[in-house]
Amino acid sequence: MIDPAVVARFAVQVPPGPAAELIGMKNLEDPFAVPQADVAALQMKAAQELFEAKRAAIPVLDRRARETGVNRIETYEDIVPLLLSHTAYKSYPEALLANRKWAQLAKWLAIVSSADYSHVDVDDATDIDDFLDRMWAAGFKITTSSGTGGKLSLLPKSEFDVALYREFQLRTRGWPEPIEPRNQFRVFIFGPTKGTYTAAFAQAWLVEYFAKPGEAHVLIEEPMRNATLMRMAAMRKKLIDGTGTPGEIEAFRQEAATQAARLSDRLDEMVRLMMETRDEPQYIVGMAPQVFEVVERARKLGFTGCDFHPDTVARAGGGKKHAKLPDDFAEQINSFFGVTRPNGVYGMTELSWNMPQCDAGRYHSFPWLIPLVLDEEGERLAGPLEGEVTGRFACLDLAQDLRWGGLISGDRVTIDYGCNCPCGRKSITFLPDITRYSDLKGDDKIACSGTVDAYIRGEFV
Amino acid sequence: MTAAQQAELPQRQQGDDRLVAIDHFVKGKVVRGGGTVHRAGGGVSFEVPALDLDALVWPRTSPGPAFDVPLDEVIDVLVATGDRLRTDPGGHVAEALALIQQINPLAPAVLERCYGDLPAQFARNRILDMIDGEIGGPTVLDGWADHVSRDGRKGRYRAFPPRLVHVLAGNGPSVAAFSIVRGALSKGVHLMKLPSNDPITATAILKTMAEAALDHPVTRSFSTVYWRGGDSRVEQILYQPTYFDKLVAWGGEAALRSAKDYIGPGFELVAYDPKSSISFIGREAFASEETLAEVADAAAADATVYNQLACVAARFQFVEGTEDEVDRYCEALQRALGLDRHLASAVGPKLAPDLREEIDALRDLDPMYGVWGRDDGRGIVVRSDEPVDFHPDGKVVNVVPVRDLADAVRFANVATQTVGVYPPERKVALRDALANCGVQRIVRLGKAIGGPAGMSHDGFFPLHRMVRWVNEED
Repeated sequence: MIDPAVVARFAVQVPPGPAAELIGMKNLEDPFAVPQADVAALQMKAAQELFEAKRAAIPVLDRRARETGVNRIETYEDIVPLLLSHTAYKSYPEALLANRKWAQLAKWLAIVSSADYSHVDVDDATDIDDFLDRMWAAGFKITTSSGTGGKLSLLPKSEFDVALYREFQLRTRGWPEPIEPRNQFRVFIFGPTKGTYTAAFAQAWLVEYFAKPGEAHVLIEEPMRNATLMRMAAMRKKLIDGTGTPGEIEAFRQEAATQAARLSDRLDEMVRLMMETRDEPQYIVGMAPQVFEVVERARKLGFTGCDFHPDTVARAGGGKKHAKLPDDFAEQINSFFGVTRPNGVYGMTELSWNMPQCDAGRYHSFPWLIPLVLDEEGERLAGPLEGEVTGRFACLDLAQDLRWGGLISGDRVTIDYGCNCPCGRKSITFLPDITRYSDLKGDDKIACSGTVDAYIRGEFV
Repeated sequence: MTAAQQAELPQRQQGDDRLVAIDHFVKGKVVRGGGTVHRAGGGVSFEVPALDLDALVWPRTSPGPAFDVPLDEVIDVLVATGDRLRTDPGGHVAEALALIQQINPLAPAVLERCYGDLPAQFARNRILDMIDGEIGGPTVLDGWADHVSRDGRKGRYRAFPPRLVHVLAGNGPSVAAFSIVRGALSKGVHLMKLPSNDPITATAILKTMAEAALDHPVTRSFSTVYWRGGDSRVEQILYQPTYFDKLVAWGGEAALRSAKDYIGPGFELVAYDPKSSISFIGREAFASEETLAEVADAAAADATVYNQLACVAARFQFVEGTEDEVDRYCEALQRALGLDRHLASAVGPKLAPDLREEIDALRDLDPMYGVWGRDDGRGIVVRSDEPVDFHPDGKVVNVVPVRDLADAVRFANVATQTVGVYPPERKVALRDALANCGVQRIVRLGKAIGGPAGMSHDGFFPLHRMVRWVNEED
């Protein structure tokens, strides 16, 4: 178990509130082992109190409550109509970004969260990144993620939200045998460490607390600019309205090719260094497609793997993400790095904490999360929340400071409400097989109607 | 379907799909019996007979059954089919209606009216208009037509019967009727791949035809079966020039994507591309309150075809008017969206969750955006300075004020099918500019559905495109 002194060093103070007792359980020796039976009643009570408090402060929640007529949370069924879909945080009109209507965008943020952003000076922001920089400087940690179609999700978070997530990142790596942050690794990050993506600042903490001085090797050093994504969206729009020229497409392709070549060189450099120093403890992270690429390149250099220092940690996150990977990509990665036990986490940028995987391969929930399983349409509970239930993952996260933590995800999961994990912990678990509904095959409903999206090749660059 | 019949249907149970048994029709014969189960969505699954791939092809070693049937005889079979669809002595239409009402998302009453419209697709005059308009008359369908070039050289040409795979759309039952009529007129052989939202109608029409013309070569030229679109175990085998000349696809992005892998020399794609439609409303609409109400009603009729599931259904409307006028229009339009119509129900489907959230966000961003209506299926109108970035669907219309209709032309693009214009006199001034942007049909507002037979569809003359053009030259 992790040294209590280390826990104390990173433990964030929980402000008073309906869920304070539940969130406070993070300070327990193993927050992922709290028996569900011990927290179920507390969760329901906190859900109702939080709903009452948040409803007064978050317009989108109040509207939902009025329209659905749900005025109290007493059962899991009551929560369902109050859940927001995972697209709620990109429900702003894209025209606000394209036309630099920053004050209106701030107004939209205030609709989906409880903060007042009107005092933040954003009027003359030059682009979305400048807008976000100003929000961050004012204490509003708006994180971003890019979805399909290039529209950014904007998730308002407070200093507390970020600190709580940082605590997860610093205290639970390696769970159930957490690794103390002692700047003891050579760190290889096959991704970015700067930017408003949650993953980027999680990796920045990895560097700060786990890397030996001067031993953090990062694939993408420059900050991830959201404006780049916006430019892609703008180009797409030009292709739709007929004003995009072949020269512009060519320029985009050129830029992408230059960038890819630069990253490719950097990747080779990192792979060589990683292999040369593999007898020292390393911490290797990246999204699955990148890490798989690392393995393939190392193999091309003649390395067969399996000979890393026993303390080395290698993690590939995010699943396939539509990338073309072999079905056994995870096994290939694990065998190359000599990973012998499950070390993934299940989560999403909307959640306060993620769920780490136990030796049985299951993901364990934490005390301030109410996990729900809905039908595929996301309209009602998939059935009584007893035993194992399969369907669309939804939840109420009781620790969100600025937002309503009620969320419907795009993932199909199986949750064990019987709390019968072979590892012996009595918390709610998610079985290992988790898929995105969008990766499952289409419904074969055929219609003559469609959008212009079908006419623009997705990867025009 | 009566209320009593409806009550007899098993109720939807949580997590447990209702199962509906579906027949196939193969070369004139009904094929029954369970094989594989597929999900239709909305708590319903359907079970279809196992596929016998050998039975689904017509070997090239011999001509198809109807290749040499005189066109008049084909037309008689179609007309007789239409009559029988109306009287339904075999009960196939009633049976199919009861099934499709369980599977298709359209309201039962709308589906009943759609089925009531099916016989009209088989009317003799309509068929003759189609032959004249789409392929220049019966001559080339019945035999070889003469051709003489200016230098005196001679030849003959024929619209030879094709071998086609059709990927049918299921958002409206008329698609099945169109495809069977055109298929029969081509005299070719037709394997129809059914969609999961309507694996019923085409088979019911063919069962009816089989009774209208017993063991007729035309009925032996059709098969209707279901497999899941993109299933390579079926498509990799059947989609080849050895068996078929062309794939006629009514849409379905997944179906088209998979088709791409098989298209090549000798196996051609005829695509009714996925489309969406818009309306142009001139300032004349505000001449009086009565006019405004009429225009809103016509615009609502266009927007709600198949509860907006159709490609002809208008989703964006560009309106010439002052802020106040446009807001009055939006209000009138929203009221008109909530009426029962021939092809729309007063209360449509609930909004998809992401669409609901995008619209809800706009409600709080006034005065930049205006929103009329609630998520109660009665229709929602969103007013914005520029077209919204979501796809209006499920009786949702985005109204965009413009200074002049000419300014709205730039919002039409290669995916735009139909533009309904009010007043109709202004069509002429707009039509070339709209066509230049990619538009395929410019119609009088309110007439998005039901144009004259014999004109182009999705930018081409289907019958002309379906057949194989063959020359015999001196």
